[in-house]
Amino acid sequence: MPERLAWLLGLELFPAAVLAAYGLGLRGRPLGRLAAVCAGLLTAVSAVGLDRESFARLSIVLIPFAAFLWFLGTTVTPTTRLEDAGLARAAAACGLELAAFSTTSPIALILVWAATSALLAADHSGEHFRGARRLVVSHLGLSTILLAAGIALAACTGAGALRQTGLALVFAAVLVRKGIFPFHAWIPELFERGRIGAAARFNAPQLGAYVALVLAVPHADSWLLRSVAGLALVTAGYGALLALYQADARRACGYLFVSQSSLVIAGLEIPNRGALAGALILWVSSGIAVAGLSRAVLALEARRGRLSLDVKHGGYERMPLLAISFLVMSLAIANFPGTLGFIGGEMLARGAVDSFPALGFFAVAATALAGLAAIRMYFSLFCGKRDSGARLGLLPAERLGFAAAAVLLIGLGLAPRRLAGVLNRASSGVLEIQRTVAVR
Amino acid sequence: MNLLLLRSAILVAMAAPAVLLLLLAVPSLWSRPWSEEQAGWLTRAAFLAALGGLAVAGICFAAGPRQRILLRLGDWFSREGGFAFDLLIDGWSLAFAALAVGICGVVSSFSFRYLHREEGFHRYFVLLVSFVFGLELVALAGSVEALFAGWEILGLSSALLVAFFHDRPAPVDNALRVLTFYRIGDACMLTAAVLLHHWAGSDSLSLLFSGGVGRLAFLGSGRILLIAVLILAAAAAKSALLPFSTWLARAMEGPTPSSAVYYGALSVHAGCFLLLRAEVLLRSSAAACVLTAGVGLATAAYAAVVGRAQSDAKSRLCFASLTQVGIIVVEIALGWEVLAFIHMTGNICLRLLQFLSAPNILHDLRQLENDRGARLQASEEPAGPFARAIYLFALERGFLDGLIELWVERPLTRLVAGMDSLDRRLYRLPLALLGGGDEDA
Amino acid sequence: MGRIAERDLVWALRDELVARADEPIAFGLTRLALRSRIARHGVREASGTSLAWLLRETDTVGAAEPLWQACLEAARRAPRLFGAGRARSFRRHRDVLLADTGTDIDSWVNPALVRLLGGFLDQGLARWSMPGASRGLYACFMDLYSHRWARFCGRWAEGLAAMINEERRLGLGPEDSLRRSLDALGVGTDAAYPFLEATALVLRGWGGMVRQLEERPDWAPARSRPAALLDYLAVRLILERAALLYALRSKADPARGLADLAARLGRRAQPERAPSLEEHAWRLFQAAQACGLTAEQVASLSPGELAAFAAELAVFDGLARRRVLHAAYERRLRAGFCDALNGRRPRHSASNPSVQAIFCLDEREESFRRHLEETAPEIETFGAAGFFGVAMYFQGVTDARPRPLCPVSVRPDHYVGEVKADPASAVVRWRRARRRQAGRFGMFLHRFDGTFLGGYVITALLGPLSIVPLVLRVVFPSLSRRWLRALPLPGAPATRLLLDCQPVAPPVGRRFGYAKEEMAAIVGGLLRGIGVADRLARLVVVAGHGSTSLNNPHESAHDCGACGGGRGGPNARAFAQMANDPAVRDLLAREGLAIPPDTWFVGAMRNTCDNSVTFFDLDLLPASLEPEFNRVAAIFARARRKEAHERCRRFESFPLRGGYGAALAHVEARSQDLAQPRPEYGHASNAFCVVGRRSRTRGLFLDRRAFLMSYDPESDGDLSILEGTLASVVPVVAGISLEYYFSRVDPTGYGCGTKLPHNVASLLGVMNGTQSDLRAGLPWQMVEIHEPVRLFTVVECAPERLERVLGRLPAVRGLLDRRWLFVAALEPESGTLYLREASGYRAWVNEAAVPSVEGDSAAWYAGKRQHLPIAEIIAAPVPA
Repeated sequence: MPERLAWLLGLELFPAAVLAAYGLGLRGRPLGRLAAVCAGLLTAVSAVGLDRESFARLSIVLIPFAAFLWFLGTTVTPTTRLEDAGLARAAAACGLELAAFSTTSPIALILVWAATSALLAADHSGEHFRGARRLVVSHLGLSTILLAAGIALAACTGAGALRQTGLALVFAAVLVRKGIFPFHAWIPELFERGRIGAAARFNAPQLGAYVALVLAVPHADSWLLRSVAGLALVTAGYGALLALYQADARRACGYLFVSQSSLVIAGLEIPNRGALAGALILWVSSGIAVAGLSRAVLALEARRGRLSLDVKHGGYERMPLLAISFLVMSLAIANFPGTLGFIGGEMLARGAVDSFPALGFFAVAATALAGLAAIRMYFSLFCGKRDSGARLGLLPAERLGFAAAAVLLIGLGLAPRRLAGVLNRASSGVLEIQRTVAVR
Repeated sequence: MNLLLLRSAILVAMAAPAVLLLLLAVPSLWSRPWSEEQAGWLTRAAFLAALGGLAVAGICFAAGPRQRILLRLGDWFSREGGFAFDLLIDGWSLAFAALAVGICGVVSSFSFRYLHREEGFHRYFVLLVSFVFGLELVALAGSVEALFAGWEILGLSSALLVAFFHDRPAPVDNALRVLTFYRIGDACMLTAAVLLHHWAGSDSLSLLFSGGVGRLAFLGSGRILLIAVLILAAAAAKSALLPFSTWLARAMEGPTPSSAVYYGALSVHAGCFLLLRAEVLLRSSAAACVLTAGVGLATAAYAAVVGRAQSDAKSRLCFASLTQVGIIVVEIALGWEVLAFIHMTGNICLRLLQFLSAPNILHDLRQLENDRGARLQASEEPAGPFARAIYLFALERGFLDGLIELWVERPLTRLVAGMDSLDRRLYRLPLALLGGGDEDA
Repeated sequence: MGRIAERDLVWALRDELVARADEPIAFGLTRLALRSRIARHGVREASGTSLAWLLRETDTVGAAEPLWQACLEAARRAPRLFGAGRARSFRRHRDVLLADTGTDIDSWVNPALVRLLGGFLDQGLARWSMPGASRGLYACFMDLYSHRWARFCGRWAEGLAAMINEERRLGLGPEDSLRRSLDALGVGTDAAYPFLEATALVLRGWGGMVRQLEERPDWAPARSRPAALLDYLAVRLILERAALLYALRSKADPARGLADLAARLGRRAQPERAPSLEEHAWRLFQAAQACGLTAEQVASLSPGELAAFAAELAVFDGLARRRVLHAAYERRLRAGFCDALNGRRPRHSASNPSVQAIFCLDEREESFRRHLEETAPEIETFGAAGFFGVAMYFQGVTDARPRPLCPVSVRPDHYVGEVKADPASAVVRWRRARRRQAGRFGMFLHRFDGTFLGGYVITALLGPLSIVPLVLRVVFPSLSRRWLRALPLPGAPATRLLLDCQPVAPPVGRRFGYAKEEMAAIVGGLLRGIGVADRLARLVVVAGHGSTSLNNPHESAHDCGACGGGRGGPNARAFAQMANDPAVRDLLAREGLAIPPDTWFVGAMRNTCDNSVTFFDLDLLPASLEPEFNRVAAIFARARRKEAHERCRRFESFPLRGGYGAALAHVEARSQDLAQPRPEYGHASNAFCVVGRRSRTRGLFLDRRAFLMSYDPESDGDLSILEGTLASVVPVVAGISLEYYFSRVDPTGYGCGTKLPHNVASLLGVMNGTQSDLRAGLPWQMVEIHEPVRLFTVVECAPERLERVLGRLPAVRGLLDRRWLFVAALEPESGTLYLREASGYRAWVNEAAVPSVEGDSAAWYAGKRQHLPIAEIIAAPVPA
């Protein structure tokens, strides 16, 4: 019973706390009311989808994680880049994700999958974003169709080859949405041409990983798991290398997303408790870190215009808090000791090398490159020039959001015992299901 | 009782820099930093506490049976995960930790006056204290995680101190280059640690660092050689052995005390200390020994030749230090542990003193001329048939930068450029699948 | 407007606008009124995205929304004019390439060139010197880089070796190679000069050093290389050509590519961008707020007024505003000084002073002289050029090489050596033996430190021992110095200066020693110059100054400027010895300058870093003057403690409530501390110069800001002394003032930035790290408290006579006409001050009362760290 209570509390208290901070951070925003409506929607939907005991422990972690991402997004986004309709869409998307994370029924997940895709497309309405909208519609449309077909096939045909193809289709859908090779190219393109805030909001919670973990991983054959893990690994290294090479800050953020989320997917495919727990931790740490980086790039872009990484911008003295928070998030991506990423990286590398040695080395190399790319962004965006531009410091709301992200990544990194324990039990739960399915 | 005293002393020694790090970092994060005097007293107190702790531990260790003690400090991540955070106490670890804390105490007292009224005063001390904490972790590490954590903290703090003057582009570019080499070294070390855990079952370093040669025999010579090469690569990246020697001259962009303590003294010798600890590994594989000795000798020869043509004070000193580091690595490969440690201590202290008084070189050479009563004889030109080629080789620091640019950077950037242009066309794939027509989105 | 008064701002604006000041612009405001309001309110510069962010995210507009709307409306109507037009144009091919493709060939070429120049110009720091360095830089470069390994310098150097070998095949010299490079780069003969100037200024530190060694090879510390700017430019252009051809390799015909780049030289870098509507409105909005206008007034502007208003704002931007405020502050400082001097009653020392002291005119001596006069009112002090007229090559008894001690512009003829008074004594032999051993040990360390075996022996054996000096010198600097002094070592033996003319040829310079006539000319010249010829006291101290500090490549910047960055001690000692010479006194008596027989001159050296004073040749002091000298020495000791206390108020690490003893210990520790980047503040805060009698400035607290040159107008009928004084003093003092001015205004451009990363290169200069340009100028730690103001000189002489002298001094006149110097004349009889302006001399009208305080200087400066206004120090009535 304690899990259910804790998890219900998580559903209720956390969004309420977020709304309070929302009011403090965004004084003068007219949408307090709409946010309250979303909180109501959120409670109702999650009450409906509540079952499958084993994933409850996972939800206890993922729900506050998604809520925090929404809080971070809305506090640090400048008003010049997020008008009222955007706020409504963000609140609705968060409500849907919270609902998805608290349910395991396939139908609910397909609905949320399609709805969040539609919201992302709605974000890119208007002539200016026509290219980005076509991109989103084509990719996410394809992924939704694949998902629906996969679930239908897997659900109705019991065991056997047909079920495996169904699961393969589900994996394909996840690959497209999460941007795994060969479908990875649209995410950096979306970051470059679309709204960086909306793209970060869509990618950070990594709903695709949850759907894969809930629907496909326990039931899939090992060859399918290995092939998906292999593809994800290639993308992890590929994405990190290209993030290091990019000249445009937005495309670099896109590739960092691709690299980190594919590392999480690769971790989920390993039938080893430590590796799976490490992947779950990485899920949380890379989600916060890369979303934070993208939001920081957005905040800087609102002040300085388009950012090129070949140029040194300076400005550390003007915004020391943003610079240090950016550095902490880069270190989390680099799995630096003292941050949450280190825990996840160690557990993933340790667990992976037993069952899938290639993953161990590739994961290490990918994190090393991704860390370098992130720190290169830090040096380019905050150092290298005596900043003589206008004095544009951080607003109180931005200060609150970025400090919270940095404190969370360091705090959990230094005292990971509770989080690691919860996710360990969650991963053992998933493996149990996998064993029972295999027996059957 | 002896063990309890030793354990608490070591805890104090480890906790002092960690607490100081939090005390210095958090207020300045919220832009209400301590005044310079307060920061000074806090740092002196922390260094004295750490030195006191290590002294007490040394006395307890000497009084006791003087063999390796493994202190289990409980589990870092989760009980089941098996990530024990424990420390290994023996003669070498205590000596190196004491040396590290002492040298950093001297440099911090130098830095209080040297960085007085400097804009990055607090940032400098946060990084210096995290460097001390990282060094203590490396010196006293018992488990692979602690060693790897200390190793990475070391690397990051030295890269960020190279970029201390971050209002100029040159230090920032050089810091990124230094960090790249360190990350390569860290990746090698993490892989070695993971492999060791995978094959040997336990992540405790006592396996690696203690016991006779036979302990690792069950792994098989091929695996030992692989781990030894990875550990050597990690040590080479940190100690700027060949082929990683190119970053050492670039790392002189930071303030003089930080260049002194990192690249004149401790950071450059951390690699040697790692090899010293991994003695068992080298002993149990002849190939690894020969390779290590070879790398050490080549680095010493390279640095001796290049050092002769360097015309500025800090380059001259860092290549002189690198020559001795190469010789120390050869001593370690040949198994003369005690001599290597004495030689390391000597090189650390001498180079630190020379680096800290590097700006005084005009004063010193004039004093030297007056003492000798005659003008310094002109440095001679290299003679022999290949004089020109050798001098060009030395002037261009062995062409390492150019060669790395030609053989590594150029193919890599061309490959990645190809990937990037592929990506810019690949995103149209689903459009084609859905028959959406291919117009320029 | 804390430190600038309203009238200063108006003066500065009127001085700049002259006739256009009173033209009406808009809203009934004249141009001057408009600019003064904008100057006072301040302009927050923002443009493009940052302006958009400022307007939407923050409430800068807030309550003034209607005014903002009105400005937006007005901005639509007003013609949008370009800014003050400071965009830079392309000067080199590299600039064009950087703008087009973002690749910077300087990042490839500069490191290679820095290494080459470092090796070529090296004065003995490297073990190997460059082979064939005697043949010049160009020959060395062609020799070295024609080797096939040169292509490993980086991918840009692929074609370098081939290009060099082709030039060698043609047998080109540096000039032909330069001409060939210019043709290949498509630079015509008329565009050659600006192009070459820009190329030389890329590495202006190294380039400047090459030119210096080319013009004055005798300044090379160890060995003079045949450095030539022509060689440097030829080498640079070859490297740039190779890099450009590599960068343009993707083009069909790279050579044509060079020509295309050359075609765009001289054109504007960024296309002139007219300000956007918001930017234009933002400027109007801020100006409207500055002038306190309402939305209706802005809306009711006529098109003509609006255009004039917008045009005025476009020209009077942030940079123009800062220039006006700077000029206004300079006038405030000058006004304070004029108020203090105008019509002031001169203060004299006792009628016939028992002691007189001649110091250098350096402004650091102003505070020491003031403390001397406060401690012992009967002392009379004078200021003269720090080398006291003795221009010589001086070689100390323990020096290996002679050193020129005279202004930089003078090349001395005479050589003076120092010899042991009694060379055979045991102490002398013992000390010489110790020095030889130290020399041998030092040489062993220096030569074998970096080598394979030698280094091994040094680090393995000596390394661990070096913990002791490391901890002592770094953690306990003052303790280690006290122990060193306490060691029972025999003191330095007595020495003598060989001043008399020797028949043998000197190692450097033309004559060994001085002839009596020359000595007489020097002594007479100085005594007449400072107006003390006929009233010499029994004891005259002649004190040069210098500075000693550790870990300080810029140590000579604290020394005496008149001695060319050397220590003035030997000059003072030589002058005293000349003045005490009976033969010289007879020659002077014949010329009418009778030095009283019982007068004795004592040479001294004052260390401005640790405030120590050392007297020379005391064993020659006549016994009758013994008690008198002891009293003077005691006065000097008390004065140096008080002056140390005054200096310590500027050091933040010294507590303000500290006493005299603590202050002296603090400055002594500073000069011996390896970790001290600020041993002293040197000439920082220099602002004024007074050429006149000390009585004009005695009793005034000038806060160490005034160079004080003694000059007596009464004894200078034909103005010959004044002309000589101004000709020698003003360029030196103006040089110091402008050096500090530019290093403070642009610390990283003209100055050399912070000292912390400095690395001594080739024993010639300092650079940041190992591959940067040589850093010229003063470090930040020397100029951080300096207020950059142009020098203001007051000469005690009638205005028309001063104008006549200035007419005869082209160098000084040039500085005046280009406004790098301000001059005023202090009429000797009436004591009124006449300020020299473009329109002529104008009598000064006091603007504010000069603060006065009773007691001594400490009463005025105690507890304050900042710059202090000039104050009158009234000595407390001596208790009866």
